[in-house]
Amino acid sequence: MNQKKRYLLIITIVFVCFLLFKNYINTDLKHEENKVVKIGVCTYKASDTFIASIVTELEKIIKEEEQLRETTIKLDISDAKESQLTQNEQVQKYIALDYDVICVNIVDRTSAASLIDQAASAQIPLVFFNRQPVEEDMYRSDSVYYIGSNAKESAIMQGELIIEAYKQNPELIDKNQNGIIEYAILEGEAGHQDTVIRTEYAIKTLEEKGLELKRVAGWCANFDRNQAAALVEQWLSHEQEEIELILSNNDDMALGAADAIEKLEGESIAIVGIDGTPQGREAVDKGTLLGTVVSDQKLYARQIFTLCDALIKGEEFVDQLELEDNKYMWMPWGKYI
Amino acid sequence: MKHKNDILYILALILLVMLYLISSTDLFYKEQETDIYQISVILNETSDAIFENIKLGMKQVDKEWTTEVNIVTLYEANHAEQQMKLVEREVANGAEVIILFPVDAELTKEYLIQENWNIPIICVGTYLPEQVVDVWIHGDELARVQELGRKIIEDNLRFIYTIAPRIERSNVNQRLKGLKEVLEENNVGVECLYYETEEELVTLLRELNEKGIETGLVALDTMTLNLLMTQYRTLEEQNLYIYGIGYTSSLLSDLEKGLIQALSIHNDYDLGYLSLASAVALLQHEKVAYDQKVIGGLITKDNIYGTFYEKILFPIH
Repeated sequence: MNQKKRYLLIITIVFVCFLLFKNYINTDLKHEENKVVKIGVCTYKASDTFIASIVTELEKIIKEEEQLRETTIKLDISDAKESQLTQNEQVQKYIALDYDVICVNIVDRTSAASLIDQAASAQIPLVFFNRQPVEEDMYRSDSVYYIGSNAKESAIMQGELIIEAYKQNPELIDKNQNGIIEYAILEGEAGHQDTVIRTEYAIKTLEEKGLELKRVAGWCANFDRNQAAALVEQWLSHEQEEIELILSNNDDMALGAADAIEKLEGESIAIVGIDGTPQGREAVDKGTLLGTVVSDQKLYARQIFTLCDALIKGEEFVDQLELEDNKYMWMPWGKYI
Repeated sequence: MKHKNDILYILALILLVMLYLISSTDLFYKEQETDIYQISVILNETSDAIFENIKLGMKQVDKEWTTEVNIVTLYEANHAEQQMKLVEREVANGAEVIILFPVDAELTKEYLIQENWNIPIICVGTYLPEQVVDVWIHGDELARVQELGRKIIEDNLRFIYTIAPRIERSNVNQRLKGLKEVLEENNVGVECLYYETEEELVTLLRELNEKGIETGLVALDTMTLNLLMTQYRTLEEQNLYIYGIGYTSSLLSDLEKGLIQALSIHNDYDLGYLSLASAVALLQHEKVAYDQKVIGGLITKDNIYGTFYEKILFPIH
């Protein structure tokens, strides 16, 4: 070996040793820093009852796990108040503060791309929940996940639930007994995937099962109880035809419809919701709502925590969860009548 | 010639290592970092639901300064020792300031003297002396309960029950003392009831409600009032005159509906703002006053939407 080659070899060896040493120091520091696990949760609107109960359950789980593991798990909740700009800032703050995982209940499902890119470059996994980003965005990075429930399944169950009640007692729904169900529909946000799917498949299920339907009213109330109450109040005051059934894309709007009926002291109408929020289930128990389709919020929160925990622990733990397409975790639905 | 080559190679090697160190580490040149203040807020409840406006006030500071605020709630209600363990944990995790809502003033004082955590402690609500905390932010508890007492007298009640958790809480004791003074001076009888579990509270509520009309009940802390009202709303007959300390959105709605007669409140938004602003100021080595008081008052369904109280209850954020 000539002199030049020897020198080159020495330089290379020294350099490689140096890199390995630096890498070792960095890893060691990272372990030290990660004693406190930090999970950020960004909600699209904290006053949404369904989201609020998931967050409450998540807080309980984190407390239990902290005590069990004797470690500190920091959970920070942000409310975007339906502003994507605010939510972007909140996610950016979590990234700047080096959170371990960020869970996002995105405001605008078409605006996930920049959040995903920023989180990916900071090597922080993003877990979207309840509001699903568009599919192309979900594949922008390997560390993007989604936990949610299948909107089609919930709508079919909503339809089935009405059929079951109708079969048991047709007069409960078809009040004028003309064989036609005059219905109104309370839709969520315009363009939201759940709004479109829940509306379409609930009606399709009813029609497929042989129920004759007639739509007498319907509009978007943005998944909001107050907006729904105002709409239903207007329908009941002005619609010429009687409304026998109110289909609602979620429980909050179904409760808004019940509020309007109570305010007008009108005859009871069969109202059916989706989500199974504590308030929704309570209303079913009291007989204010005919039924709802339940997505178990405790289980939902548990699954969010399980995924976050696996992401913090490492890839092999995520593999054990057997996610659909390594990205999706689906929550089951159940009927509550 | 050979010697010269050797020197050149060694110099090249040194240069390479130096360049690497300069570009990838902060050994020679330290990159300027933005200060992120690590502040822990340790609450005296198991949930942060009744601290909404306090958190909003803190968020305002967060917009002005870069802070990382960790809000910690208790695992078990009214557990003063557990609260101190949480302070200890937060200090160990690198908190630079602790904002504390003490469960038990005496125990907290003992712990603070004994442990000497060596970081600034800001106390909110309950009184702790200047020797153990850097700042004490509070509402005027005495004035507030006296105003509440006068309202009870105005409502012509001759006897009232007070209710609070069975735990030594100095701010609750202070409220009770102040309230009793005003009421007894005006010949209104007072009986203090205590509860340990939620079930016990529900039983007490039902018993009092069955006594019929003109029974007054004062909940001496917000969490008790919250628990109480959750049950009271579901009762078929509601016979009580209910008064309380503090507020949440559902309690305000109960006030509007006439289920609650009056609420003694203080400016929670300011409480949150001042506590975090003081924490940042302390970290910047600025002088911060020990005793800081926030305004408050008595709200009824008639004045809730007056300009003064509306600003306090529904701060713009």
